[in-house]
Amino acid sequence: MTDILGNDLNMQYSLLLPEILLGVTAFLVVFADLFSKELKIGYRLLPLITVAGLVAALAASLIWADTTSDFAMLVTVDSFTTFFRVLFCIVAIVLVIGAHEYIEAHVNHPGEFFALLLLSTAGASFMAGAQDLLTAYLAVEVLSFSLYIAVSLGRNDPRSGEAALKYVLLGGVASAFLLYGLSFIYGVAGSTQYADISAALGGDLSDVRGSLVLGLVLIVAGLGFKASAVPFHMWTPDAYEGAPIPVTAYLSATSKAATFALLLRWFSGPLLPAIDEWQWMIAVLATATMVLGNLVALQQRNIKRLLAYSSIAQVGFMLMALVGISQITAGGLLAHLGGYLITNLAVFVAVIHFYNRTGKEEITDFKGLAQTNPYLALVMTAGLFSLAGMPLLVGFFTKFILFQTVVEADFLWLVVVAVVASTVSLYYYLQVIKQMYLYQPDGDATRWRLTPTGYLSTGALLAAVVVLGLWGTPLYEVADKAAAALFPVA
Amino acid sequence: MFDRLPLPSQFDRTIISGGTVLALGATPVLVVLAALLVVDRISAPEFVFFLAASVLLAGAAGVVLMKNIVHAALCLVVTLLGVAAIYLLLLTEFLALVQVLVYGGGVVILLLFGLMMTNAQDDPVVTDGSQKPFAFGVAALIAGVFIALVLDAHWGSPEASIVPFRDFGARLFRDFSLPVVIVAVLLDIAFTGAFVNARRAEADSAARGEARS
Repeated sequence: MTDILGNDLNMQYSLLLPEILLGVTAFLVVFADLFSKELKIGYRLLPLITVAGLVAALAASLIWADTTSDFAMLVTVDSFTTFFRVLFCIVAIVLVIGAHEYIEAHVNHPGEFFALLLLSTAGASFMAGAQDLLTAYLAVEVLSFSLYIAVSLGRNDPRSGEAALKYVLLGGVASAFLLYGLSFIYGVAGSTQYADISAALGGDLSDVRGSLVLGLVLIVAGLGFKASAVPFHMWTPDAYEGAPIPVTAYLSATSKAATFALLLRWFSGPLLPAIDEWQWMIAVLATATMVLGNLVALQQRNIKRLLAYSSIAQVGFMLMALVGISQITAGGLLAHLGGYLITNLAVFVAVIHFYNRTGKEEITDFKGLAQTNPYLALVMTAGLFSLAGMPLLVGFFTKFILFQTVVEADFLWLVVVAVVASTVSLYYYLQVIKQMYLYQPDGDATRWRLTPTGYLSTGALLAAVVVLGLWGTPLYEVADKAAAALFPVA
Repeated sequence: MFDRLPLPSQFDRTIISGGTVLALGATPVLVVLAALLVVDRISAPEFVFFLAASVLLAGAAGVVLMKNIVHAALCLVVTLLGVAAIYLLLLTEFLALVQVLVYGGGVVILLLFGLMMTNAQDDPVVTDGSQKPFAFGVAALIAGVFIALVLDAHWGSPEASIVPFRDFGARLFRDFSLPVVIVAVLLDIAFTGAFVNARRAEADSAARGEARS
């Protein structure tokens, strides 16, 4: 089929099968929830349908693991897209399995919550796949809108509504910045297609240089907000603290990874010719984020706020890879994203189960967890050590690769800052571990066990953290292949 | 006793004061633009553009500055109609039509109904305004930079052409069918959000009831 401009369009809808499956499942979940009385189904069916849909979408994304194709010049389906589709599906599956008890007890409207989770996963994978500015922007909005609402779903918790309001107001401003920046890029390049923008920015730009820089500043600010990079991180601690814990985990995993997918697509493709204009911006952001994220994390008392600042600090490490962008650093960044997501989820799922049992979330509440539930304390410890980058765990392996690739890209000074910041981070992660192992439990000291799905999710994550830490080659190979799709051999 | 005096009612006073401000603001703009047109400094389309732009800016300022929230909503209508005029200048009649029908008509009516039903209060007095001067300074600075950079750029002279409705439809619903679907999903999500937050208190109290029983 040809479009009205005469270009060939590939309207093969099966390329979008994963996203279609996610959308259909979302509506199934909402309808199952709506007619639960008539159909005599309980809450338990909702997470089951959700997981089934996610597994189907994961399987469907593997069909195109080795192809490179596009849908109507709007969405690219290649190894990079597949990498993120699989990653996002895994995150959502783990979260649903690990948190369904929490969602039943502490989240309003669980049916809508699962639907939003599915739709935002679809939005996130469109962010990774889009090859047109308009589609990419709409995908960003699908993800953001879902998250604004998901943050507000905490039951009987006034912090939840407050967090949602802060998030939606600041998020709206950031989206406006992003869109205004995109309009400048469109004005300069005369197209919304990545390939055309790349060609246009490679030409003579002396006439419109100011507008190009303004557009880039606005884009970096908008996406910096979405990735919570300093100084656009102000919303992060409040939103993380007020949101239901699975939503916090989702914010720090899928939302962040999707933003980096978009940043990688844009800065390795359409905006690469203008690297001189944006490289310093990202370098400044990366440095500020690493330093401030780690230093402010030292003062936190609430585990969710601590993890919020820890995730900000991690964003700083990841931004380094964008500064010296090449196929090698992109591969390092993708590997680190994978390792970070697994590790972060391990910590968050452990916190969710701790909250299910105790209803508390201050760091001092973790006193004596090694006595009351040694297994959960082990999962938390492995996760926190992996976040800090201790050897033999996946966090060390991927961080090492990331730092090494940035050194190879001749940004040694950034890595020096990163290593110092990373050492500082060990202190606040150890604070939590100290509470669990060195103190006696306050009050109730009886042993307790997780639910079977709790053991399943934390066990799988713990195994992944340890096994990928000892033998990370598969993760690195997959990441390398995905990065290769970003830099096609001309 | 005051009822018998021939003083204008609140409604009349609003109309009189609003009309006076409008006339005072609009007259110099019209005079300057007409003079420029007569001495051939600007062409007729430019005359229309500047007129539409000033209406648009005045409306936008009104939305922000009006204390009465219904007046602010009515200023929004003016702004949206100004945008429709800009669309007409760009020869995209379809967008202008949609702008008037959907935004100028539907959306603002919906907004007014929403205000009516939710019993919205007028703009409350903001007490935490210590950052106001700073915020104003930053806003002015950013606006200055934006204006300077946009004026500085040489955008070339793209040719505007009338796109037939048929091609427009084909472009929108065939070539860009996927973004249209994504927009549909986005609206659905927003609707879900409005629904769950409207019923938030209900869900909270239901949960508390369950916990008690």
